[in-house]
Amino acid sequence: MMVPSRSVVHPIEILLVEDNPGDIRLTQEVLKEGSIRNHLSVVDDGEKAIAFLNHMAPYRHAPHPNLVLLDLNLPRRSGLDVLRMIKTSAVLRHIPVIVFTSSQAEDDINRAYDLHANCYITKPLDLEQFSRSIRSIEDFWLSAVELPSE
Amino acid sequence: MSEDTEKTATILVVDDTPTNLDVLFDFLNNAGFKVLFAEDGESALEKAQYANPDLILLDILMPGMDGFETCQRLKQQEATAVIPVIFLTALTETTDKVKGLALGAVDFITKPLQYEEVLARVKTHLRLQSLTQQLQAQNMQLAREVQERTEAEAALQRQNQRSQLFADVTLKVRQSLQIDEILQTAVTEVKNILQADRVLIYRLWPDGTGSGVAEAVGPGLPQVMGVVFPQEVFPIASKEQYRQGRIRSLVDVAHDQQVAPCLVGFLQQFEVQAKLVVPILAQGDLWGLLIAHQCAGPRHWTGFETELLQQLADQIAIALTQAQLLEQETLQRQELARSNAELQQFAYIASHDLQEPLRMVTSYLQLLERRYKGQLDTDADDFIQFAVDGALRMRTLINDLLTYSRIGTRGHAFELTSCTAAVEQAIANLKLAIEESGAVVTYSDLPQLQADPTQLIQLFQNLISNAIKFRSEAPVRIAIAVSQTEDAWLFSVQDNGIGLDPQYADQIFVIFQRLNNRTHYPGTGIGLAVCKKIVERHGGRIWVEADLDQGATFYFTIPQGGMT
Repeated sequence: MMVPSRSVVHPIEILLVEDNPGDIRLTQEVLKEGSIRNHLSVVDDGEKAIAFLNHMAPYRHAPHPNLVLLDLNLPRRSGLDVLRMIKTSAVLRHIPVIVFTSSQAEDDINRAYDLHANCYITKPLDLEQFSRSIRSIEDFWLSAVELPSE
Repeated sequence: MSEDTEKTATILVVDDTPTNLDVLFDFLNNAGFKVLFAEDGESALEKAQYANPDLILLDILMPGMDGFETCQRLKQQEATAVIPVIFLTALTETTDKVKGLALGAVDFITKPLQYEEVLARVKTHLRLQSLTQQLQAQNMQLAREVQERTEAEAALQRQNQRSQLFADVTLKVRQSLQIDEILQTAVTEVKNILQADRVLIYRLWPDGTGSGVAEAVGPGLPQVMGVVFPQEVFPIASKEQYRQGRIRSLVDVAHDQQVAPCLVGFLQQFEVQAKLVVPILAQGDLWGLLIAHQCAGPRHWTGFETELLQQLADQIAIALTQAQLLEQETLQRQELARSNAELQQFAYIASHDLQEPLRMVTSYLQLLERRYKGQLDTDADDFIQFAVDGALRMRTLINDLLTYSRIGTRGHAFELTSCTAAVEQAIANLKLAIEESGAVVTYSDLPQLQADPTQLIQLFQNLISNAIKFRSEAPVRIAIAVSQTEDAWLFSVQDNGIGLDPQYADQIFVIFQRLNNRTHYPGTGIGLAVCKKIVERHGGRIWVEADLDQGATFYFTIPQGGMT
């Protein structure tokens, strides 16, 4: 029996941790073009991300994200710090974290996987590829995969 | 002895009774002798002195000085001592004969004279005398030769010893390329050889001052090292003399009139009693001085010592020049390596950081194009198109630059790598291009070698894709082969493409150099530059042999056993 995707019922909650306004908007635009109902929250540094995920002020009523898109190069607390916090927290560690960064450094890649990133995607230089990446995130993480319930 | 010598021999006859002599004179004269007469001992001595006869016939019984005394005095004179004396005597007493022989006579002839006997005895003794003289001459010659040989041997030995010493020290000095080490070795060795109390290398600095830069000094003696000497110590005139190669040898500093009083005081401060100074001339300039001090007492420096010191100074100069060159070269190389590394780092960071804003430009232009194409006028569409194209090209350039700079900064360690696997991987990466072009890539028996596997794949991939890109009308054939040279693997990648004008054979490996127009052959002109950099990182060389429309063969070498 087909189980209706949750997005039919509730929009998927996505947290984007990104400090570059260009990338934030681009992600928003590309997600808007997609077919999956989603709600995107954005924080622009690592500390806010940690506060958001832990429902700390001023994010007491923040939604519980189904997916985190995490840049690594962030002000105040780095993306790796945020990743470590998520993956060592009993209540958060089930949330899929997609590292989405411009860094191609092997070091960054290895460290992200060591900290249990669910996947690592280098931001494509081209809009088409960028769209494809976001599409495939949608297709896989938001549609194909069954995520744990909240 | 030849007859000639016999005949020209001079005989002095000494007798006080002239009547006896006429007959003897004729007889000897007829026999070919020159005959002189003396009637007493005194005149006999005189004549023997100036005429230097070959033989003397001497009467014993003469008034005044008798024959014995005359003989004695002849034997006492150096000039006449060797002349054989034969006594003429009526005496037949044995005691007389013994006395005569004891006085140095060689024979007796008894009076009355038998002339035949006289002639025979004279001839015998002349021959004996001549033989004796010959023997003496030979002996002297022998002695001279022996002495000459001894001297030559001694000289040779001295020469050998000197050469050995010199070679030893030179070797020790030249073994080092560190200036400090050279100087220290030199002073230590020279001090040992000369048995001097102090050996110092004194450096003249460009500002006119000077100081010791290396010193070997006997125990208990003050050190000169560390003392900086003012310009006055070295008048310019003196400097000039050293520059022209003067050697200064002082046997006894305190009692030498040539030494200025101020210098005496200065030398006494370091207990110097004798010194030997030779200049160290490096590349025609007075670099410094090599100085030997004797402190225990005055010392006469031998020619050998002076020469040795000078030769060593010359060797030090050569070693210094070499060391300086090496130091310069090392510094330059380090500087070059540093600036290269910096440049690579710069290129890496620049291209990496340039990517971020460029990504924004490209992405938003593309978004603009996607959303608004056909909604603005055609001009706007064109403009957007040009901007997108430019941004995309720049993106490729930056990407390539990043790849290029990564070869140096992000290379992996070398490991045993299979070239066959590398070529296969390169072909797999180029699957699309190979299928589209219908290219056939052949290869066989490729070796395993020490390399960075990723870069080796990249190398083959760039060469194959280059061959595909510059294909001609003919079906693309690419042949990869390898052969062994003396110390390297020589690879070749041969194609049947459009080839190139040989005059551009070097240019194509320069980054961003393109030979063909962009419309037909897109690309940034970095592929072969990357190949060159990869090959060079592996210690090899890359070049192309080609002609227009004749295809091209790219060659590269990789040292066997990896980079040394």
